[in-house]
Amino acid sequence: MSTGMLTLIVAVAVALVGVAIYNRLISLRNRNSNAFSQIEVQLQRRYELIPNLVETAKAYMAHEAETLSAVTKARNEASSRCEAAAKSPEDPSLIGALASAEGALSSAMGRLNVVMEAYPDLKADAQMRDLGEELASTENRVAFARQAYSDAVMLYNTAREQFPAVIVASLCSFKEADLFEVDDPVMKESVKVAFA
Amino acid sequence: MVVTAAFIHIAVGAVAVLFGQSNRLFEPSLPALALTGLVWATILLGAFFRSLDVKAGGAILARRFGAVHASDRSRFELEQQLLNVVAEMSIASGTPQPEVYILRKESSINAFVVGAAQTEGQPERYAIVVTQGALESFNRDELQAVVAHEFGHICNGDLPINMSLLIALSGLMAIDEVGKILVGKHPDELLHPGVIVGYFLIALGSVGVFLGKLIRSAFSRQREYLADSSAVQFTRNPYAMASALSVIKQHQNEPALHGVHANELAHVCFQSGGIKNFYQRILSSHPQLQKRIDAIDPHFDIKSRKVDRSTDNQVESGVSGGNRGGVTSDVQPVHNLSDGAIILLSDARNSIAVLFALFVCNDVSKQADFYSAAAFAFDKKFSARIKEIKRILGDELNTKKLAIIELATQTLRTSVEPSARQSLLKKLESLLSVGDDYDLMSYASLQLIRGKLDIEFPVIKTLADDHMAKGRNAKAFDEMGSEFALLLSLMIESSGSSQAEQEKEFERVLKCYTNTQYPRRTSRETGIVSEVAAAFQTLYVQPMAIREAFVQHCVEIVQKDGHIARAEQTLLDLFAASLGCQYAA
Repeated sequence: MSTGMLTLIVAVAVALVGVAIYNRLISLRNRNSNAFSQIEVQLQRRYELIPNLVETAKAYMAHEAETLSAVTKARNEASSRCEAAAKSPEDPSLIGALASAEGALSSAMGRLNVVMEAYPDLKADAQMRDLGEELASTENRVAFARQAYSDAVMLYNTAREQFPAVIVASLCSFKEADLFEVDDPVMKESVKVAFA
Repeated sequence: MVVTAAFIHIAVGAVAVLFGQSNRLFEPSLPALALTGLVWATILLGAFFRSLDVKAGGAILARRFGAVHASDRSRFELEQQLLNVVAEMSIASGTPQPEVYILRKESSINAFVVGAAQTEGQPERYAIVVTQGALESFNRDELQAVVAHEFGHICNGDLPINMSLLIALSGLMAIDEVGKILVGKHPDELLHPGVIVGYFLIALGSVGVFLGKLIRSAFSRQREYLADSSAVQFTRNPYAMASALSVIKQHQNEPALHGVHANELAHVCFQSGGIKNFYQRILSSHPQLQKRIDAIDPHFDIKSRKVDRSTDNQVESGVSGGNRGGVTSDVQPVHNLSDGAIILLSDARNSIAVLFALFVCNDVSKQADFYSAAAFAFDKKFSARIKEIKRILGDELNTKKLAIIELATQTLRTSVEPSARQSLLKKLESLLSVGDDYDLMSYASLQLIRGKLDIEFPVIKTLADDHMAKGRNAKAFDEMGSEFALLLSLMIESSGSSQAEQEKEFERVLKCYTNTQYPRRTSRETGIVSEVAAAFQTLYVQPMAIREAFVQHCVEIVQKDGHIARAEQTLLDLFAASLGCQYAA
């Protein structure tokens, strides 16, 4: 076997391994972005649910117009930022803006829930109970979507940084993915839904 | 499959030999061949029909087992919740959302996932089936854990194997079914050929099922652990998973599934019921529930006790803590203990040491005496352990005394023999009586421990058993005035209100018992402990009704000012324990 032949075989083997690694990175990256879009889908679902909640609550708590309008305002803000972030998911500043708007919405919702404690009629309302379950589920979905995203990011980043994948990654410019993290500790708290 | 085939041939051949139809095992006669053919045809047909179902997808299969589509109408609140939970889990696990089916008539607690393996051009079609019993017994978190477990099976690729096993088992079950039909037609004629063949088929079927179960148990148990861990990965809530398993454990006497398909489905289900004997342990498709719980959270039992307490307190404002009717309480319920203390108190040896550590006084100069006394009574190691615990728990020993006693005695009651408990108490008592700070509170704690450990007063025991002394001990109500006065004044003193108020209150309550005037006593008097002990001994032999009424009266005194101080609670527990009765707060 000539040296040329041997070199060729080694080159082909290296190329095959490289392709395999490349494909794996691609599939991980796509899973990553899919997981991120899931967060947006669930956030949208929450934005759609909140007006219903406010409408139902309005009938019972006429004196709390301020709290309700704060929720609506925060919701609209977060919703528009979410749309902006969805259009260009590469931009980390938009994601940061979305995260802070989300935090504001969460705290507004938290206040609303505290206020609602004072209205037993509202809590007993059948429609409200349905909404309560829906909202609890949506909160869970947002949380699980974020969890799935974090897991996907971790898998992708680990795969990207390991040897020999790190060579392929740097050659084909696979960028490091960011976690969907919120810096403010207040924002890390979820909205408490306690109708029961 | 080869083993099963060989087995069927030998079994059929053996029967043929037995009936004199043939004289050689491996050259069967015509009827034997026909029988073998029949058996095979049944198995293959049964398997074939089931495989059609499996190919058609999870939804069809679920319907075959009698499940209905989960409704999202608000009338079925629980099913709506289930749909939500499934949607959440499909997000968490990153799998497409399966269809959700309910076994509405099934009261047992179970869940399973069925579905076709991926075929070309079609997405995977899985169906999650949950029993009505599971919907009703689990709370939302537990349901989530169970659903996550099923998603774990999907993600770990267990379904193709599970489905082929299901097909094979269905085939084997089919012989059994056919046999039952044949027997059922002629129940009275035992020697009818149809009946004989029927019984033979049933026998063969049961052996087939036995083999099937053996195969199934070989590889499904490890997959269950894997699915459990995946479930925890998806929900990040090991507690809910363990608590779902313990809910099932509480219903262990119920079958895992009531329906006719129970045997076929056992290996795909969430649980396979309780395991009672060796035979079942070998054949079980699932690991033992306790092992699964231990694998997820070894401290689950302790933690759940903690949570139970807190819910008990909320529901019925239990003995210690709670604030019903505007009565506030200093007393810490058990669930307020730190995790470290709770884990420490789950071990019997540590619990004993903790009980001793409770009596270590805070004055450092006196501590050395106590430790050396403990080293003398037990050994140096034990003394060192007490010292260690005093250091670890520190302030908790003083502030959460009642909760600690409660938990420690609970552990000791279950794991230590009564005689050993008695000698333990004797050692504690002698250790305390040696020290010079044996005050009322130490005495109360000691008696409380005695009561919680289910040990009777040794003196009272002999008095009560002594028939000769019975007449002497049953005193008239009025004669016990001094005893009542003593206990009542201590009770009132513990409330911590001003002297004048205490005096007034003492006069008021004493009138309920006697018309004679008695001086008010305080716990600061010397020798009060032995007097209290003597008073208890007098009262203990009185009729239960009197003792109960007295303790209940004390409860009212304690609650009168709308606040239960820690000292009050201790005394109250002491009174109740010493008088051998319960009280309702």
